[in-house]
Amino acid sequence: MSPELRAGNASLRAGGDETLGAVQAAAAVEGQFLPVDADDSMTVRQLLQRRDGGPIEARYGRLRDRVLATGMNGLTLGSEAVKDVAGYDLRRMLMGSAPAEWAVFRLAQLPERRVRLLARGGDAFGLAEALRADPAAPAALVVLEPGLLAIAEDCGEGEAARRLGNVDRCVAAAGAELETIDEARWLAICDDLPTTPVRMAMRDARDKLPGHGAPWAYDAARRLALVTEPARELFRPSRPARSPGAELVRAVVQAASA
Amino acid sequence: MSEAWIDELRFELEDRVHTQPADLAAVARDASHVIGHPDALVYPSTTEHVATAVRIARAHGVPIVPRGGGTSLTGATVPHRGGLVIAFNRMQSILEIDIQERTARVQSGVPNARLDSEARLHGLRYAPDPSSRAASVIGGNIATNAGGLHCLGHGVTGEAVLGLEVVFGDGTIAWLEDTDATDLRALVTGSEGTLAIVTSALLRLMPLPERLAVVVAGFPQLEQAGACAERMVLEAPGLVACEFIDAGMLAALDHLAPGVLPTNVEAALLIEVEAIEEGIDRAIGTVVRCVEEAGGSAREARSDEEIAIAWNARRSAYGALGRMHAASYTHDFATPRDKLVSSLRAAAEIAARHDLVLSSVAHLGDGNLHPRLHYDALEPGAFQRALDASEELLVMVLANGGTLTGEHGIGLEKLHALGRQYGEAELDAMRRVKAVLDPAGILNPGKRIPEAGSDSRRGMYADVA
Repeated sequence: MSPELRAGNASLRAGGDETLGAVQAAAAVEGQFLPVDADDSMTVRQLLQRRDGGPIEARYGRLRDRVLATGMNGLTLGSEAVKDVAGYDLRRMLMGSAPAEWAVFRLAQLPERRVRLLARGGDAFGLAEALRADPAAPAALVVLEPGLLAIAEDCGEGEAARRLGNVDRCVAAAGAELETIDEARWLAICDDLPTTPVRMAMRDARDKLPGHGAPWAYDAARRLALVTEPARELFRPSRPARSPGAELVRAVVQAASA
Repeated sequence: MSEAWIDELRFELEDRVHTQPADLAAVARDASHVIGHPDALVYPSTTEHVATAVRIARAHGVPIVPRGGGTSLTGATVPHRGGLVIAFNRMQSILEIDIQERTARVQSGVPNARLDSEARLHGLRYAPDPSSRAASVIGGNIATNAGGLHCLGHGVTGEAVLGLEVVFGDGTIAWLEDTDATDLRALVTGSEGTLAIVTSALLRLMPLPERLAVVVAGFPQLEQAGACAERMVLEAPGLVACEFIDAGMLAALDHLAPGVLPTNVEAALLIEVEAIEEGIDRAIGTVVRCVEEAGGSAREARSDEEIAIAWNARRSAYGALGRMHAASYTHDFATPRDKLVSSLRAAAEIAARHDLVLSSVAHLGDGNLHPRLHYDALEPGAFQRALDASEELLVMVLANGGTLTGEHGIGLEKLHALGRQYGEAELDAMRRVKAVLDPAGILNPGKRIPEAGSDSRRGMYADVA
């Protein structure tokens, strides 16, 4: 099956074996795209298995919220309506647990300008906070090291001067230096990020993450610490943390999959 | 009434338990057309109170109906099988607003509008904004995964929910996060209290926009409004709301927004865009161009006051109809955007065939329509005609690739029809999930999904009789 664009609904249906490149090419015909940080060679099935759209979700919303419908375990879940609350939401719950046979995505407008940057030096956490506080905050911000911040901006041409000027100003004030990188480098950075997220305040991340030996990154716009699975429990916040037991979770997934 | 389970409730929860007829009458119905018959009512103050009530009810096999603001239009909070109502009137605390993290932790009974007002004091906002926001509460919004007027740009309730504190059907308390490997948070959101009872939530707040603008558009024909909306979704930067109002609804609203909403048109759109200072003119210009090229006329609201009048009128649509129609039946369907206008046309034909008056609003940018059927409640058979027309409406919407509900939920109202949208395999999977999280089947039973063995194609409200 080839990706089928439904421009009037800003949606696209694709088979699980279709590549993201094919999806983006079909969507681009009408100036649309699926906003995810993933290589074009990734298949729809792999993308949904990953569950995460990458740092760019901070601007465009979660990948899981862009899946209007999907086929999993022989079940058809969701519809092509943008809003659909009929039945239980098994599609979000099963995402990552079962391979997707197909999916219908909600698309976004392609931005006129896409800029990807690295800021080296200074306090990357402080720089991220300064950028985030401005109404013209970038689309995505990832602290890769205490002195290395990855920045993504998607915008219209008319806004570019203000948005990029804001980045220049904040980077200079932080004593950092700015390097423009291409999309491939940005995607490589995203691809290398640890994938297990923990919601964590900046104030905690600043103290805890750099002192930890395991690979980590801090997605400053989504307020997520990205860590390895074994490290996840180390960074769990102290909020009401009575997680449902693993046995219960397994039973729910199995019930939906049987 | 004195039964063992009520005695146990009183022993554990003391004066939070009520059984007087006047108290029970207050929670016997919601904004739907159904009336229930609760046996007891409890007003918990804490999650532990809720867990205690659930454990006692489970031990005695007593049905539980969680109740938020009581604004459900589908009977989701009606205790149609009797039992215990857990009402969240005393769990109205905003526990924390973290300005830097842009989050709020709140108890389930906090009214939506109060949270938003509180957030705005800190330069933030709570984005999901159902029309009922003054009365509906966060717990109910989560239970239905409620939408609203600005969900086109900012997402529905589920997209703002970062974490949930819940009580499962066995009385255990758990915290569900959006970062969990298996997203039970998403499963519970929109489950109408049938899988777990939400007692508190961690919610995402958003910064206020640097600039916003509202454009009011009028169109001689419905199809022009539809074409305009489709195009704006593809082209207009910063589009956050695109609300449709039909001629019948405009007539009802003329006293609320004189000179603001258009007259003598078949359709109006209320369009809002947000941008930084440098982008707002372009956003407005794109909207105006889309409107005019579709054959409509556009006018930007000139002041904050005019913007407030326009949105207040839109939010007051159903109330305003009260001065023109004595009784109404409100629907909630969603279709792919490109099928919405033909669905609205078909809805008008269905209403006319049943000798009913129809007026509609729609979240046009989301493909979410709310046809409202008006009838004379004193006329014998009139309500039944409204139900018959409703059946035709849902068949039409599903034939157009749509869904039974975009934001109001299934409740009791559309329970019978879920088997038209989903096959038995999907319904069985949902039933199995319910059986895991609520093994005794006491959490809002007989709602949201049809029970095994029930005829899933009976008429509306057949499950209530």
